[in-house]
This record gives sequence, C-alpha cells and structure tokens, in this order.
Amino acid sequence: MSLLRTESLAISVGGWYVCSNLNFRLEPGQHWGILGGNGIGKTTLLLTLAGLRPPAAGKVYIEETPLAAIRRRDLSRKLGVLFQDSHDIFPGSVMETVLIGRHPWLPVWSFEGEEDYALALAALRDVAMETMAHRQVNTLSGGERRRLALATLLLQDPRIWLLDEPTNHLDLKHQINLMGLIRSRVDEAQGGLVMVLHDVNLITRFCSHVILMQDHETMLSGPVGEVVTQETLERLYRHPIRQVNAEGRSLYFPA
Amino acid sequence: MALLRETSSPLWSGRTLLIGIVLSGLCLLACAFGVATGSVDISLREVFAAIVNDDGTVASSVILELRLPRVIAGFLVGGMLALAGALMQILLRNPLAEPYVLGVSGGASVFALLAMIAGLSGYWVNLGAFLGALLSMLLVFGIAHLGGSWSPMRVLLTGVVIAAGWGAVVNFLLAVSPAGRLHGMLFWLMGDLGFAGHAGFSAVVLAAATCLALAFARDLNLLIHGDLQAASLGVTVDRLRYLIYFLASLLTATAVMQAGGIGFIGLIVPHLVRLLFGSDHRLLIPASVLTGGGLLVVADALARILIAPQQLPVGILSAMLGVPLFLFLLHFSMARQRP
Repeated sequence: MSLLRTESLAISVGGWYVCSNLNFRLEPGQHWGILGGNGIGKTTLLLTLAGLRPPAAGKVYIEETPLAAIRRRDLSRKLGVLFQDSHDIFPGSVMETVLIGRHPWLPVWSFEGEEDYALALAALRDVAMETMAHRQVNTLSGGERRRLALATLLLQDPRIWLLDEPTNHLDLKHQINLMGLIRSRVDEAQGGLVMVLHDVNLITRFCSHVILMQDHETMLSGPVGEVVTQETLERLYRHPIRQVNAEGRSLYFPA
Repeated sequence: MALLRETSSPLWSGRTLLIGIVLSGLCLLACAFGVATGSVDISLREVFAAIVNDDGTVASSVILELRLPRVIAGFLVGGMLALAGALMQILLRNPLAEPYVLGVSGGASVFALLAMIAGLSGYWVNLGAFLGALLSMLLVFGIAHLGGSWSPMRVLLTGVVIAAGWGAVVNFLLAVSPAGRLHGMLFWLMGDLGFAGHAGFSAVVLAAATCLALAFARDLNLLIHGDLQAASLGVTVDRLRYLIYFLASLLTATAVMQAGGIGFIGLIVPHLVRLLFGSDHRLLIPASVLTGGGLLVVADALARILIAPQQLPVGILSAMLGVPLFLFLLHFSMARQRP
C-alpha cells in the first residue's frame, strides 16, 4: 500500500500551472528529494501533498484513502510537515513550543503529562537542545529555531514526512546529523519522506528517489542514481555543473 | 499504544489551580472594594449585613439596588472585553487587536445614538446597540468573505475601514444632535456602568463563551504558530476562526450593550496576563476573564469616588490604572529576558 499517492494531480497558482497530470507514489522506505529553481512551485507541491492547499484537479490519497475524506486530526497523526519558516505572534518557551507536536496524540480535554514532557525532552535531546527547554523562542538563533521545528516534528511522530528545506540555517554538522536522524526515524516507522532541498549533494547522499521540477510539463523523477546526472542538473538549473568522484560518491558543484 | 495513553500532569494543573485561586481571591477583594465604595459611607460590616439580610435600611437598599448590580455588571463587562480582546489578538494575528477594532462597537454606537436622538432610553438604547453590533459583525464577515479567502489581514482591513465608517456616522450624529442630549450621548460613548440591566444575559454569554473558548484552548495555542502549522497538527483552522470571530463579536456586542464603549481593558488585559503567566490559552482565557473583571470593578469604584459626588466615565479610570500597570510589567519582563 502506498503511503501517499497522487492521481492526475494538477496544481495552479493564480492561473499558472505548477504541475499537471502528476502521478506520484510514495512507498514505505522511500526518501524523495525535490530539486528545482526558485519559484518553480516546490513548496506549493509539498503543501498540496499535505492537504493544506486544494489542487486544481486530480486527487491525493493517503494510505489509499482520499485525503479530502480524512479528518484533520487523524491526518496529523499520519502526516507531518516541516515548514520553510515559522512565525509565532506570541512566542513562548522552547518546551511549550515543542510540546505542540503532541497535540494530535492528546485527548482534547487533557493537559500534557509526565510522559509527554519526557518525550518532548527526548526530542529536544535528539536535536541537541535539551539544555534550552526554558529559553524563550524569540531569543533563539535561526539554526536553533530550525532544530526546534524539527524536534516538534519528531514529537509529532508521523509516518509521512514532508520537509521544506529542512537544512535551512543549519551548520554543517547539524545538517548531516539531523538528516541522518530524520532518515533513521522515517525508516523505523516504515514511513516515507519527501523533502525540498537546494543542495544536490545532500539529495544524493540522503535520498533514494528524486523529482527534478523544471516546468509543469517536464518533471523528471526516479531513483537518484538514474535521474541525477551532470547533464540533467545543467538542464534544470541552466547553469554549467561540474562533477567529481570522491570516496565512491559523485559530487556536483556549479562551475 | 503508549503514545495514545491519556495523560494528565499534576504539576501543570497544580500551577493553574493556584493561579486560579489567587486571581479569584483578588477578584473577590475587588468586588468587596466596589460594593463598599461610594459617595455614601457604608462600613464593610453593614455591607455584609445588607447582603445577608435585607433589613430595609437606606444602606441596604443602596448596596442591593445600586452598588451590587453595578459591581456585577462591571465584572461581567470587564471579563467579556478581556476575553474578546484575547480572542481578537489570536484571530487577527496582531497584538494591537482589541474588541472594538473590527467596528462592532462603532455599529453599536451608531444605533444607540440613533435611539437616543429618537428620544428612547434604557432598554431601547441597549437593544439598538446590540443590534447595531450584530449588524456590523455580519457586515464585516460578509465583505471580508466575498473574495473567498478569509485571511487575518483581509478581515482586519475590512473591519478597520468599517469601524472608520461608523466613526464618521457617530461624529455626524453628534454634530447634528440637540445640545441637551449631547452629555448623555458622550457618556454613553465613553462607557458607563450606570445602567446595570441585562446582567443575567451577560452572565450567560460570558460563561458560555469562556467554556467554549476553553474547549478549544489547545487549538488556540496552535494558532499562535500560524494557520498552516496549526492545520498540519490537526486543527480545523477555518472552523476555529469562524468560532473565534463569532464568540469575540458576541462578547463585544453584549459588553457594549451593557456599558457602552469602555476602552483599554480588551487591549491590555490579555497582554498583562501573557506577561505574568505566559500565552497558554488554557490559563490565559480564565485568567483574562478574572483580571478584566476585577480591574474594571476597581476602576468603576474609583470613578465613582474620585470627584464625588460627580462620577467619571469608567473608561478614563481603567486606562489610568492599566497604563502604569502594563508599562511596569513590560519593563520588568524585558529586564528579566536580558542576559
């Protein structure tokens, strides 16, 4: 059973099409990366897959149930989203903020208990923020906020992970550690991952499959090894790309 | 399955309970102060005697017929305004939002003033205010909804423009009214707890709105983080926003009907409570109701005695109390946050 499937999906933004007739399948154990230039509609695609934006045509299925027929609360236990940026109007503490990830799992009338606090602390430890639980969110740096958002998603504990530029603001060490963490958590849950990234080398390192978004008619997708080549990347970015091989991997960089 | 287990934290509820008890105690003190204060000197013992046993003396009729209803009305209006303000600030994602920002009170004012000009008084003026408030609420809702998207910015701009429109009509009505009626009209506009009818209706509205808002308190917490984040964590955002809009409007309409336009409470009390206890709505909602109610009761008591026997509009006093209190807390909390 596919975790997530689209059927002839078309997405439009103000009359301009991001994609048309997209038939996409996310199977358990797959990690998809989405590459594409600025403004090509990567975020819009992700939001549509998450059911946060209505498609122009076609359907999205979650575990073979039409997404539109799933209650929001039930959906939030299956599918989690990491947004490009977060904006709180009345920022609270780090602990308060990470605990919102437990919302889908808590009965409506209850307060968070010891167990929820323990889980929250564990999630903060995963992103190396356990000592900051009492800090106010507005005193955090960009990278720390990013890690906090990731911890919230870890706590939400979905099977389908949709990440919009998860490595934004992260330093090199955290990029690698957290991508590894996410991937192992996805695999543990026998889940699937779709993420938008701008770093080709992170995609080739952490993804099994990739979508190259050029315009709504030419979307190249498939296993990373087949789809990502010097030539497809040059066409995608309209920029010369160089490739080097080191330690058994191919690395791509702009000329 | 362990993840699904229902949990409750004794720590959290303990803190909430403590704050609830302290605030309730302060509110009782405020109400006692309100009942014992006035242009006629009545001792607290007499006050208590009058409430327990109506002995028909002047003191007991002053207490039971004038002061007690007024204190109750003040508490209800303050609570309604503070809750409406807290809800509006979430709905519009704007810390400057307050109950009157979307023109609910403007609509109420226009119809209340029209009733006064027509020579009506008492209940009719209040009925006019209530209907005007509801009309304004539907107008803003309808217009903001026309384009299909119901974004905070769109609602805010629509409401602010409609409020400005009502403001112009109010000024027009004041300009063409006979001088004899102007004083009463201005007092109504500035907010006055002198007419203490409808307390039963207000109490029902406040209780129902508080319970409903509390039922959705955790959803409101999520809304702080933005519509998309809230939706992705399981909140039915559109439905919740309609509910907030409806509740805030009903609370404001009822408060305006009861007491005219009392400013400041709805803006400042939610911020005051956030500075003191944080922005978790499970605590923010009841704490705002209690703080708003208590503050308005004290303000009204002071308004009655400061230049007695003349009375000041309570809105003046609520601002005079609230401004220094808020600035002090703001400074205190910023000093605490500094490393």
